[in-house]
Amino acid sequence: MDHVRAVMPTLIKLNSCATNLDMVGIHGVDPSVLRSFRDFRLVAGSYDAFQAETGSALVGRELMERRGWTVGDAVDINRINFTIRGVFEDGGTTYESLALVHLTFLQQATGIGRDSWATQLYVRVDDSEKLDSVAARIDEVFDTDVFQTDTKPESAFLARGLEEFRDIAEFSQLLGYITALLTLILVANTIYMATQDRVKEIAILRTLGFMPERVLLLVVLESLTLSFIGGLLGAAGGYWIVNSGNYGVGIEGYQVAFVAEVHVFLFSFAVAILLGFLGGLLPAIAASRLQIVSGLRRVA
Amino acid sequence: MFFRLIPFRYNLRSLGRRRLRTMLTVVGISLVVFVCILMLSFSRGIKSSFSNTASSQNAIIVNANAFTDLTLSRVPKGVADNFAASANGIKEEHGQRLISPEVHLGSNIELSKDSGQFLFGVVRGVRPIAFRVHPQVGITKGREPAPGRKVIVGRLAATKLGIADDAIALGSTLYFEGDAWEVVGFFDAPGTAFESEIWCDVDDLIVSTKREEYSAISVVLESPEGFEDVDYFCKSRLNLELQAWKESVFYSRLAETLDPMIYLVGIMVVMVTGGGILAGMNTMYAAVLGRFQEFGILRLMGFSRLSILTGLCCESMLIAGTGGMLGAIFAEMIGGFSLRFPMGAFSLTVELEILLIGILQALFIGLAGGLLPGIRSIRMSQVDSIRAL
Repeated sequence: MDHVRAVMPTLIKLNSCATNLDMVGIHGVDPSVLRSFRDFRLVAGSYDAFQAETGSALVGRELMERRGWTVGDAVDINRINFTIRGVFEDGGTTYESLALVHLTFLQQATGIGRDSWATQLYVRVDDSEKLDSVAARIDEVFDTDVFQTDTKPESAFLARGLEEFRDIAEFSQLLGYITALLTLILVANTIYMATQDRVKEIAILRTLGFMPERVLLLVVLESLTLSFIGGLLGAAGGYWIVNSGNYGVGIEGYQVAFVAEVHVFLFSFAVAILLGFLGGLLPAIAASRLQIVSGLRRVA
Repeated sequence: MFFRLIPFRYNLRSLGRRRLRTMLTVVGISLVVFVCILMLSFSRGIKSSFSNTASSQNAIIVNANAFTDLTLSRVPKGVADNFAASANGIKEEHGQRLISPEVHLGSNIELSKDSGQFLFGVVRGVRPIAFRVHPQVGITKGREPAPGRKVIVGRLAATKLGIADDAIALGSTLYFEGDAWEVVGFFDAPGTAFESEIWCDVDDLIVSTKREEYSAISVVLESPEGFEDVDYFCKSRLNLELQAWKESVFYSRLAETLDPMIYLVGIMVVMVTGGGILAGMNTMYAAVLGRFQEFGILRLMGFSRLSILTGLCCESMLIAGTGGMLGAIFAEMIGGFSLRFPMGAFSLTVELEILLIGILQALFIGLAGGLLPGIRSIRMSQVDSIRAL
């Protein structure tokens, strides 16, 4: 077919490890066309060793790190046993969460080899502008076949899978906003308490000549300091929990791992600082407006 | 020293002395309970959509090579007929064995012909007997699916498709697998994954998809022991390449894929509860710090340390309980909406049991938040209390 540069039949299995919290995406591929098809970078091991040995695998960097595997390890993923012969990077894409094994090996391991079965066919085109027209042409050709095809760009294919998680993502986001509001109340409560306990101290500061703006600044700075420490601990804790837990969900044969990236850490930390500022502002205004006489009288 | 409770009215008035802080704490705890109830309902809903789909009396037979993957499973018609004719342990009703061959597939659905707007939905091809094999399913409007491409639509199918509930009406037409399908009815199956599906005649679906196999066969067992007969048949007839699963096991294996998400929800519930305890403690510490003189007077009046501690815990639990009730009421008010997930959709129903857990959680927050400040306050000796005057 015009504009088709390579075709790679792929059998997809999403299997659980010993702990059911981690699912591993295994793709059975043809090693002879894989390299021309996918421009990943081998960072450890040998492609030749992978190609020569049927029961071997190339594993994405993200999956290797997540599972703590090393090259040469013999791995058992729910009755599918393979030896790791190489590690690849693919620019941080979801492909790095996969284990690639020989197609024939996976067909035999899962017993699906009888019909030379594949879950999907990857098609490489020579011109990305022709992507849609080639997809339409493929579906047209196979329209009368026993197995009809549904061809779409890989990005659209994955986007459809991710769309299925949209409701859950929006729901989680809503809960996140409510939790932020809760934190705001917690901070405001804490700072309010701190200022109320130090009415005498604030009144004395005012007597010594501290202007209301200075008192306001002191209280806000106290709130910011607390939120800085709390935010740092919380963001670091969340970063550690998410990244050390091997959590993820399977989407269209890919294992999409839950990963807290540095920008998520920084964003969470920034939100904590903002909440600290907002939560401390009202108590700070109240403290700055304290009348010296009534402040001293309340604790006399 | 005798134990005499401080009058409840006294505790109630104490709370009124610090209105702003009390209100902030009530709102904070109501948010804690609200979030936790929603999260618990979420994980309960998503899990039970699988467990409710499974019937303890049912078994599912799939291709031996597909494990629990229905999309990979292919059971040729001849094999299904062979199974239906020979397997033992299957329940019979009115002279008919309760065996339901089904095709299960994800399909791109259009609401109008050639619109190009594809919505991803789940379609199940069935025979009329499916309604006896899956008794959870009931027609709520219209009639059963029938040959001639007549389909019925589950209560949550619109959610699964990502469209408004009223976007599909009786008599309207859906377009999938190259054909037009008329909607002739609606069904529900409370709390199950079936509700997010579209059901049609299995033979129509086989013709439209140009396939020659079913995805799986669901059967009702004559007794729990009947599964061994079905399993034995599948294992002894290797040439048929069949594997039998108890439905409960099959769907719990499917549900495992969502465990990471539910685990993270659990962590969030614990953390948010921790935040609530801190809010409660904050308020009660503040309530206690300025009241040593008051406690001294109470001690002089003959109230024991335990009485004062009980009173403080009551104050704290009252604040938390009020917050808990508000959070529970709010969660109940907004609950009942539907969410979709990759394998279907489910209703986020706030059950009474979860509401009670939420309120108990609030009371626990109140108790934990009041206990430490309370203990601190009663540690002061009576002499110091008198001196504080």
